[in-house]
Amino acid sequence: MTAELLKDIVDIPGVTGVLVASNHGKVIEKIGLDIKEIILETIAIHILRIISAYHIKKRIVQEIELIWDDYHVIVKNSTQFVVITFCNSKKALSLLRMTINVVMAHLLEDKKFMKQIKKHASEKTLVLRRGNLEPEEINLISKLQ
Amino acid sequence: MALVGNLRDLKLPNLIQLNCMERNTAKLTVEHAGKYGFVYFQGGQIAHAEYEPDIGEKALFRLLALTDGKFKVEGGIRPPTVTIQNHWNNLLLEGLHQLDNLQSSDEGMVQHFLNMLMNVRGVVQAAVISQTGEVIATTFELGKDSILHALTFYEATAMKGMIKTGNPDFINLVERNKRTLITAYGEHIAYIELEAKSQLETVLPFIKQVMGQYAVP
Repeated sequence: MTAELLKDIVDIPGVTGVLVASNHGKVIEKIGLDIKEIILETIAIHILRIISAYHIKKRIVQEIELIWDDYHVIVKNSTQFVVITFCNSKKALSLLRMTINVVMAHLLEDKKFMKQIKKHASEKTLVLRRGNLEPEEINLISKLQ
Repeated sequence: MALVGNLRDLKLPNLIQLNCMERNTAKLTVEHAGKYGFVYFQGGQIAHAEYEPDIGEKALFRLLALTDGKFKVEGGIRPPTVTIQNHWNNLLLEGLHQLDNLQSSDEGMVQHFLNMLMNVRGVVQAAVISQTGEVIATTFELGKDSILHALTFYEATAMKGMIKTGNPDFINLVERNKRTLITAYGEHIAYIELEAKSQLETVLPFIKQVMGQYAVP
């Protein structure tokens, strides 16, 4: 069911892949991505660290977009998971953003998916304390409080 | 008939001088990066200037820094109000002096870069911060948010080589009532806050233009 929903995103021209990760970086589902799972989890963790840093400041990041000249990574944040979409074309970005919103809504209504997500749920700021943290990163995180 | 052109061909100080020496009563409109500015002349004196969010001399001095943008001079239009009293000659000298000061030091260049970002329609605030979160220059009170932006930049650039070989050109963060762009500015970080309703595709080309023009070597 989750894969079926994500297929709506992958079907958009330019989309090279999409994944759903829990709020501690576990990849729950992915489609069309030729990247090792460990790398995908590392990407998810870096993104979740941004979201968690804002969370500490009582701010909610709804969307993050990493923009290159010829590549876009669009991250949609729900409270318990993130959807990360990889796209190599600018042509259908508006359609892509709308489709991701619709898919997010469907995922939130999908009881089976939400049960699976809750199994992997953890405290929102855990990613800022656990995992490989570089000294510069630790320094910045310590100054956030 | 209106006089139209581009500031690339006719600089604003020359345009102002021309209108003042001709003792014109006219309205000068400048369009730069989707934002409009106005200078009104009354009998050869500068009587009023507007460049959102400023009016009066401050607006005029910001307009004087523009080197690109369409302009239109319409004769016979009176100023809606008078916000400038100084003689045009003194105003031009003061404006150009301020600009020279900005461009002659590193701090001035950063401030000039921020001023130019603020001239882009849709940009609400801007700042330059170091990678450790110290504020280098800003148009508003950033507080501890500079750490947040430095961490955001760190995490985004830590993904280098995982998605693409280089760092992302921009990081766009959307909150409920806020849209933020974070990008590299030399060895520092530029923070650009946009109007929540602004369309990224519309604003980004103008920001890229400013980044290109005022890039740190």
